[in-house]
Amino acid sequence: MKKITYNLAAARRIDGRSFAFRAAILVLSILLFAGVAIFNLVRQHEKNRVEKSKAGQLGQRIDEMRRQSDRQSQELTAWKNNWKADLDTANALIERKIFSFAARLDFLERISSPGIRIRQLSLVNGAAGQVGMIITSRSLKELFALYKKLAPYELVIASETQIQDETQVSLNFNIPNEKL
Amino acid sequence: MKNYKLAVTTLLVLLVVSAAGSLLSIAYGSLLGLSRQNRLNRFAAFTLQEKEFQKLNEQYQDWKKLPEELRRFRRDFIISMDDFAVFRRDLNSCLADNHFHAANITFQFGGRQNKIRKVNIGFVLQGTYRDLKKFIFDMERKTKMHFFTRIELNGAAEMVNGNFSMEAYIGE
Repeated sequence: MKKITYNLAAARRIDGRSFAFRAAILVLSILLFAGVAIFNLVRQHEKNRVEKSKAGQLGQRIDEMRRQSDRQSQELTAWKNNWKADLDTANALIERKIFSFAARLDFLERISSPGIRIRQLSLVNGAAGQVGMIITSRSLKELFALYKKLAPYELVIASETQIQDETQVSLNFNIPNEKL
Repeated sequence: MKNYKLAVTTLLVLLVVSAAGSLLSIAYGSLLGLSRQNRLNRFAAFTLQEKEFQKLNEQYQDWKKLPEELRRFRRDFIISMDDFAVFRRDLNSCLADNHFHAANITFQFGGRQNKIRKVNIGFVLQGTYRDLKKFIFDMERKTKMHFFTRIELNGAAEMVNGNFSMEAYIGE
């Protein structure tokens, strides 16, 4: 059976234990919130300080590099004005020096079959690697095989003449260095 | 009773203040995050800029070496007047080695440009294709600044006529 208790006190009375317990919870909550706030602020402040110092160093470095690059750009412009003509001459000479006629003759030997006769050959030292040839062939099959091999080299067939059992062809094509 | 009320009020006010402080610290963190993002963008821009600076620096270092390289190029590859006599002897010995004798070798001295004078050389050879090719190969192997500019070969039976044009560059 449930026991009934009556509060007959004239004024309200605080339960000290219960109050202390609740007050303790409140204090702990306050401490927790304050702790979180302080921790956040300290952490952010520290991070900010480190990054600001990094950014400062970076800014200094950028300024220094910019000064250096400005100076280098000025010197480069002066050097280019002084040396560009010499450099262009040297490069043009090197370009022509590395042009190989022997390599082009090797190439022609590789692509020509026994039925093809080269009557005239003209080779010019230039970037295009221009080659002019007059050839004769007794076999159309071999002639067309040669055309096929020369097709990637900007082949131009200038003329083709049938003379008795031979076909004489004048043709031009280009063998630049990079295609050798 | 009053003391209790005061204590509760104080505690509640402190709780509200600390909670607000905590929220504000989080908001402050977010704001700093945004400014950090800006800083990161600056870092990224700097990395790009640094690459450009490096490229420029490499170019600068290359050009810095250029005068010395050009001097070396002239010394090692451009033919001096003394070397030109050597070149002519070399040409003759190269012809002889490959069973040729050029009756007429013409040398035409051109104008001076950038302290370099061009000499046009022309000659006609007759021989077997193998000998002509060997001669071309031998001349191309030489390091000094002379090279063939045009070669015309006309074949008739075993013998081939070769019309050769060369250029040589003499430094002053």
